[in-house]
Amino acid sequence: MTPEEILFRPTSERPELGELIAVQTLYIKLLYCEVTNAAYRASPTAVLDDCGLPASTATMLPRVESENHRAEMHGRRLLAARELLLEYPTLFAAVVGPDCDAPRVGRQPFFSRFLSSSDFFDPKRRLPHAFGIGEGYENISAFFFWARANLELDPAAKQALYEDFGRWLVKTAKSSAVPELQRHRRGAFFFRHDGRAMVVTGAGRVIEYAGVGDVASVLRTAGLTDLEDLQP
Amino acid sequence: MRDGVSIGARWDGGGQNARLRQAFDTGLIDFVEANYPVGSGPDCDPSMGIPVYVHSPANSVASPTGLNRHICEQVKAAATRFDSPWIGEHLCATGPEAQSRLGYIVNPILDPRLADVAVENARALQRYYGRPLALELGPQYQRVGEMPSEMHFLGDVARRADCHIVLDIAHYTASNRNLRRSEDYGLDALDPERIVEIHLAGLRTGKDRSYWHDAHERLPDDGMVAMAKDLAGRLPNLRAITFEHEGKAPEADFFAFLTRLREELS
Repeated sequence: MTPEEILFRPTSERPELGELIAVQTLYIKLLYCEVTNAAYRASPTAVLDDCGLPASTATMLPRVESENHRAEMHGRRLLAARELLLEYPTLFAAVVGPDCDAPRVGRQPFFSRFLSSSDFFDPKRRLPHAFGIGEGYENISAFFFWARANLELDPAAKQALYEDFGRWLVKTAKSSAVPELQRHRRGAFFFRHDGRAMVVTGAGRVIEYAGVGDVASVLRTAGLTDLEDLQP
Repeated sequence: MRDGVSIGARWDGGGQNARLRQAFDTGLIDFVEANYPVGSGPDCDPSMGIPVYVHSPANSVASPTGLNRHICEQVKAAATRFDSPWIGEHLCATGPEAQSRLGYIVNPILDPRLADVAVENARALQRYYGRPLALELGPQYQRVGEMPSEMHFLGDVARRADCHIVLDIAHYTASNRNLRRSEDYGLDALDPERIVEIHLAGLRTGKDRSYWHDAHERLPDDGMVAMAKDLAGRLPNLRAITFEHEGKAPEADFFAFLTRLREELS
């Protein structure tokens, strides 16, 4: 076999690795997901059975009750919180508090829900990475898609979510050679709770758009991305 | 300075170019080591006329999911462009699929079947790159799997795949402290002649002071410097020592440590 055939073959063509892949998938889930940890603590065999794994594979998984495992989970949680806090400062100030830091974000129940969601674990629930390496290499867009669909936010916090993400999207688009991202370079828009259109400009400023009529069509025609419609 | 051992510094982005250039011009470093993939902007070129060693923390070498073709292509192109003497790769998984990285790298499950997969991947990657691979471990917080340790896993994979090794002294020290092992645990599991490069960086504890983490904003402590000096004297094929110090850390620390390192190794 050529190196390419070994390195890049789809896992569907490697049925003999199915059990190892399933064990590793569960292992990675146990490093982030509190729900899976709680279920595994209560009944390892039930979780293994749900994953189609024999009980013997428990030896290949973390001891979830151990201090070491909790420490690793905590560190990973902090890193993920830091990544999001950097790009969602307005949202987290509104939702968590003005002086929030990564440990505080990490303690929020909504953050646990995100880290336990399929949006977090599924690489396809993200935009392509700016470096041209495909989806699955940042959590900023995954959080936006998850929060937009799952987080109940008051109007100010919802506006903060769209503003923060819109700024990140435009900034990322402008620094990337990836065509799927470059189309967001001109800016993005969303509608505030009172129906007013807000535009994130190509320079990253957020301004109210004063036009009348079918504003969404006008802005789309101008090459701006509708953040309500944007999909992974 | 021991003959044949070069000293380099990690390149994380264009913000470090001035200090790296100065370090090279004053003879403090011989190369920079860059983590690939990098972006495409003007701040994303580590060359500056300085030799570049190519490294990648983004490939899932120790994973049954396979690897991301886009990353491998970029790493290979960079290594070819800079004629990197080897390519550093982490012996890790990255996420639930070939193309994914949820955050920090995932240490491998220490299982013989996964070691077999890592051997197959490392051999293939070495052939794909057309140059040697040097495998590195991340810091460990727990032991997952039934093999004695990650050092045994690395030693086994490197031997069977015929790869070099990057020994990251900060990761190694953090792992030994986190797993309550002796400071020199597991070195005997590695073939000394396979270690071609050492990484040096600082460490810090978390708030509970129980666990240690890689800290590129800090300097290596005296114990780690002494370990580097000792290893430099006895590893037969050691060719490079790379200082990992992030760009926003004090510039004075960067130059002072490189000066000290040169003196310690002279």
